[in-house]
Amino acid sequence: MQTYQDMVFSTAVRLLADEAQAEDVAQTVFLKAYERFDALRANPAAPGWLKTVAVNLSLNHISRYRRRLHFFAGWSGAEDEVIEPEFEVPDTLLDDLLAEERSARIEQALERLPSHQRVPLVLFHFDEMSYQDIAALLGVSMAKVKTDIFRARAALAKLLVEEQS
Amino acid sequence: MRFAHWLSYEMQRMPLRRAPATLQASVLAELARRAARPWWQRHFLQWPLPARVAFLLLSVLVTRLALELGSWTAAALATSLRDAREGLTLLSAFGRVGRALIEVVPVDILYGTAGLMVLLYGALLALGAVAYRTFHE
Repeated sequence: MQTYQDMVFSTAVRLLADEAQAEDVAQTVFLKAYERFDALRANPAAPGWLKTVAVNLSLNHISRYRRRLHFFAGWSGAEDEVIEPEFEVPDTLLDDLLAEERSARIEQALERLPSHQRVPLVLFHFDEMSYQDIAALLGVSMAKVKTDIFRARAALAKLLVEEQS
Repeated sequence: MRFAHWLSYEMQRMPLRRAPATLQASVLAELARRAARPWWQRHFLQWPLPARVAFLLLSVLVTRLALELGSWTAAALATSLRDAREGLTLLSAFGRVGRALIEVVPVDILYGTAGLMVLLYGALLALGAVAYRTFHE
């Protein structure tokens, strides 16, 4: 458990943006792992299993404990595929900061994004999931995922630029 | 630099967030709590073998009883329907008698009888009210 607890907690907290809820999710992940202890003990796929369970439980947690209708209103609208131009940010964005400080700024900015933007963004950039996999996981169209990730990036860039200035 | 690439690069390099120190303790506490639960509150596969066998036998028995009860109820319902059909036949016989009486008995006597019935019904209600006030209050 000690080996993977940071990984499981990080996965949950980046999706949920709430440490207490992330701890609850991490606890549930390890309790589920304990039920399958014999199968997972010497299994090289155990970290992947833990991460997948953490992602799924975090998404369940979001849909259960936040205002469900409001949250899914963000997900549900089917949108036509819109190819939006990639925006530019200053080359010097957060350049003056140490790596740890830069990470902390990004983490803080992520926490300020709404769930329907933060979740696909985290799944895409942190967990390196494809648009298709994210769309399947969230039960929305791929166009919707692309649009939400684009808007999340724009919102994140704005927050980081504001922070810097 | 494209922001998406920058973001991917930065996020991939971000260190893991440290789990709270209470996480491990809370998991262990929950496991201890679960281990202390009586056997009947645990997963069925963790029940003692005799209890599992007894439960399965009881389930079979209950299912059998439920099926018996179902067939008994269906038979009783069929009998009730048959009785009801006979009752309807009896009711239609009463109707025919009533129609014959109306044709034979003069109208004045019929209205008088109906009025008397209403009067008696009212008297019964009044008597009930008086009895209630007298004996209850």
